[in-house]
Amino acid sequence: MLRTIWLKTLREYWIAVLCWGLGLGLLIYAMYATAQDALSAGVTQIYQSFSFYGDQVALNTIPGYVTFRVFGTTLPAFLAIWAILAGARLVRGDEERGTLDVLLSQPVARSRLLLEKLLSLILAILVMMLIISLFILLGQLSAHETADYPRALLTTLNVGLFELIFASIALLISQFVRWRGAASGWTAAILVLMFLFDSVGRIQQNVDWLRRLSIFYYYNRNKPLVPSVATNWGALALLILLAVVLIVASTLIFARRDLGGVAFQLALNGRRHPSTVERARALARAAGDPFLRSLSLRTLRAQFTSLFWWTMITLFFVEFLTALIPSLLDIFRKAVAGNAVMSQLFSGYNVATNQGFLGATVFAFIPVALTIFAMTLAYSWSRDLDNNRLELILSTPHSRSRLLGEHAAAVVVASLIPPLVIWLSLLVTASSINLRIDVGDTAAACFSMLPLEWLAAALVYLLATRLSAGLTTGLVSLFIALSFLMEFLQPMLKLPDWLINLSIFHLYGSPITEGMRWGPTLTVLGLAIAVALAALFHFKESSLMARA
Amino acid sequence: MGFLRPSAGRATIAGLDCWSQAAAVKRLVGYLPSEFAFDPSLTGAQILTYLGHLRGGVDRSYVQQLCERLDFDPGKRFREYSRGNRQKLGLIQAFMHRPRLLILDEPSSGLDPLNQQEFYRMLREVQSEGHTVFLSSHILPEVEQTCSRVGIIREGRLVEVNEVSRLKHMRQQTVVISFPGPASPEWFQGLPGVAAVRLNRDGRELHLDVQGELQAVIKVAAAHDALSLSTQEPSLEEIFLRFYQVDQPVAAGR
Repeated sequence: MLRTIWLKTLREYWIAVLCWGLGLGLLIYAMYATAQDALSAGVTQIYQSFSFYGDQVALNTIPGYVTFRVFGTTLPAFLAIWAILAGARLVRGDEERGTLDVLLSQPVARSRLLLEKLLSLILAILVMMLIISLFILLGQLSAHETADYPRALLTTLNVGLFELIFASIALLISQFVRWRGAASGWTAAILVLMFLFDSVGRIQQNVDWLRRLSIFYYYNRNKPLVPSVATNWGALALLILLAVVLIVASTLIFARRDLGGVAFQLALNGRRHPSTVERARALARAAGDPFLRSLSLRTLRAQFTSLFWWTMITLFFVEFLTALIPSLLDIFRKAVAGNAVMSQLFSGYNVATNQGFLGATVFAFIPVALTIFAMTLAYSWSRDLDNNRLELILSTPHSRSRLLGEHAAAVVVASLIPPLVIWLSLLVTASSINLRIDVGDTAAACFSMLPLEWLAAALVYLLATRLSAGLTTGLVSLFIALSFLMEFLQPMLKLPDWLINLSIFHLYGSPITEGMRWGPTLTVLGLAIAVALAALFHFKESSLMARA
Repeated sequence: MGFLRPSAGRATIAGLDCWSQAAAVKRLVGYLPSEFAFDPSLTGAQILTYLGHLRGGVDRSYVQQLCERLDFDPGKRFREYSRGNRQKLGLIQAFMHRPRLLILDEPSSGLDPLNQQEFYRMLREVQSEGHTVFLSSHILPEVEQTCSRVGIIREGRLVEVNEVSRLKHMRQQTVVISFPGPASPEWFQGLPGVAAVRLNRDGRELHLDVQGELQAVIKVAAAHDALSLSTQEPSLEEIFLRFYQVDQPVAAGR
């Protein structure tokens, strides 16, 4: 696997290919397996209010339903996260690490190097698509549909083309910016913009032309799973042409620009000699920065962008669903009441009330999202331990427990903000659309999430004293995922009490409908404190080099 | 620095235990790791300010003075610094709180010759102020130039600790003696301190490896009407290499 550049690059992708392929494949299989029940429950009625989300073609058939739920927006957009990151780091990542200098000192043309790396990315996408297509086939069989592998394969190839385009956009942008993070960020913004163009154009007939600016539109012209939709060769050719243009442009620019530099470099890149005044100014500016006064303030500042986006996205989700309640409540109630499986799935909630609806939609997912968020906040500690960024900090005259305590304090403060903002905005939105909700119950629902967040963060701190950052996050993610799946599928799995009580989301319960559940909440809080104390003790007592 | 928990024994600095009183120890110490990383998005000035705050505040004019001396631009982000500039940043943060003890791991690596000279001047200044510098280096001429005492570590054990000057005197030196006529190695064999004698090709010059005092050698040389006698002091590098020779047994750690 180390014989050529493309084989070496392919080797770096295999874990991602397997994880994404199997993960998305299982999601598709689950979608097929539950499609018939959902359709007979009249779920299509609900989705008619979701036209912003995707084209509704043959929605009352299983292929149409799966296409709408998975292949229209969810899967391509979700997988684009990986494609964008891979595209942005294809050459810029090596440049940042300084490994491209060594590679390019070998007798290899730059264009060849880029194309070889791109080839392995294309192969990785292809393999991932092959895995997913097999799961479509399994799904078709499980839903007692006619197995049609060619259609399954064409569907995934269409997704693959979509991903290649976004990887290529990230690759092109990475030629113009110095850091892969910036390239990923700009490309992600383009992805969101493209989604909005397509959605707004679909909902508002008068700005229908907006859709034609979106890659989502051309991608969705072809729906190979749905037999009634004819192949649109024009849209396909346009996407292929776009991918080729992006790749050619990136190759040409990469072959001509400075290594480590950017295309169209105008300035001298700060190579000038700094004067005494400039040095003094830089130092004075830094001295006035309040966020450099302690580890906790610095940690908060470093987490600000992430905190902002997590809060905004969860808020958008909450606001959107809350605003939908008046129009959806009736349809939702009807749909659930008519079907045993759906009633079972939502058996813990009183859907006849506004809060029941909030419990089934918003508060079934927001606690999971915010627990993951808290894990990512604490992750910065284990990552910094891994790459020695804490060595100088640990050489300052503070005890280890104080430094860890300060980091944890910053995480606690940051994790308070999203629940608080969600609670306040829920109250404001509800009052503005005349929706009656209980202030105490919503507060209980929002603030009962805090112990879950803190437990996830504390687990990261504890595991980070012994394990690498990757392993730590992997284990905590697994714990969160299992907790969620156990609770989400409990109506079907009917796990015994002792087992289901291991799920933190089961312990969270549904405070929006049941009010504050002090017992389980304090149990999780106590657990979080115990784990945090164990982390403090272990970190204080262990050698830094002893981590795996 | 309290990074590693001792498996046995203890280490102290200024009477303070390096593990149980690590925070107090670190107040006295300026530390430069051999390779260090930092938040790549922070500028040099921000990093120095941040570490300064964590140390309870430092003299900003002294920090600026250090930046000037090492020709360091604090306005750039950490990820934009070259290896040499990162090293300068590391040195400035180690010196900026005027520590009683400096622990520097490969401090001059990546510095250009002008900055290296400036760094040596900085070292001499802190030494003259009575502060101690622990310097770990593979560049032995640098150690010879800047240090007064040397410890040699082999296979994880301290095999020698001594003054640089004494280490050089204590160790073998090469003595070259010229004679008017043919010379014989037998004249010197068996004399105290003489480890080896080699005859030059023309037969009139002898090369002796001598350990310790030269009195006996000088007397015998004079008795044979020696024309000239010169000694070559071993460099620290040669001394160091002798400790690393395969057949040299490792002495017990001290």
